[in-house]
Amino acid sequence: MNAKPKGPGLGAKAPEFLIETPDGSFPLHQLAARHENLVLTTQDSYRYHPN
Amino acid sequence: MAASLKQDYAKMLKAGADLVMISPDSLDEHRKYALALFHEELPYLYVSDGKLDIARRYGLIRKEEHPHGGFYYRSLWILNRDAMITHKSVPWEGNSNVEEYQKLFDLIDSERGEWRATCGLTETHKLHTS
Repeated sequence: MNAKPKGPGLGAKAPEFLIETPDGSFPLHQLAARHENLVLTTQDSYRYHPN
Repeated sequence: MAASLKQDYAKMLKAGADLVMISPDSLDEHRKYALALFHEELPYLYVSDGKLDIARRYGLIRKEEHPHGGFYYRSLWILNRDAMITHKSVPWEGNSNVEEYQKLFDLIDSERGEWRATCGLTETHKLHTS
């Protein structure tokens, strides 16, 4: 059984990383500021989880 | 899940949101799978986390391998304009649970999505066996 994952909680600032876009590279926080909501989703490699 | 998000991305944009997908696949691998599964590139932004740096900082690495392989949790995060986390689901079962998937659209005040149960398994199988 996997332990419950840890990570930043609700109300915390999201850890920063760079995002490549067609208009250049932007820090996550800068991209978030442009939208009402910024949705992040993660998944493992398609080789394991194609759906 | 990518099939559902692909078809519902326009609804997210209409609601004033944007979507970033993160996975350990390289950008080239991501493109290759998208073309194999959907015959076109996916419309939303993509970040390759090949070194699992983002996974570590967001607490997304499984202690034990998933039965289908891999160590990276499927997850959902919603940030506001200040990059503060207003919602998190770890793990997120939006690929297999329609209610979890639809909750995303409720949270961003969007028209509901059109969840699809699966996609491209046959094509992916061919990809690995060719």
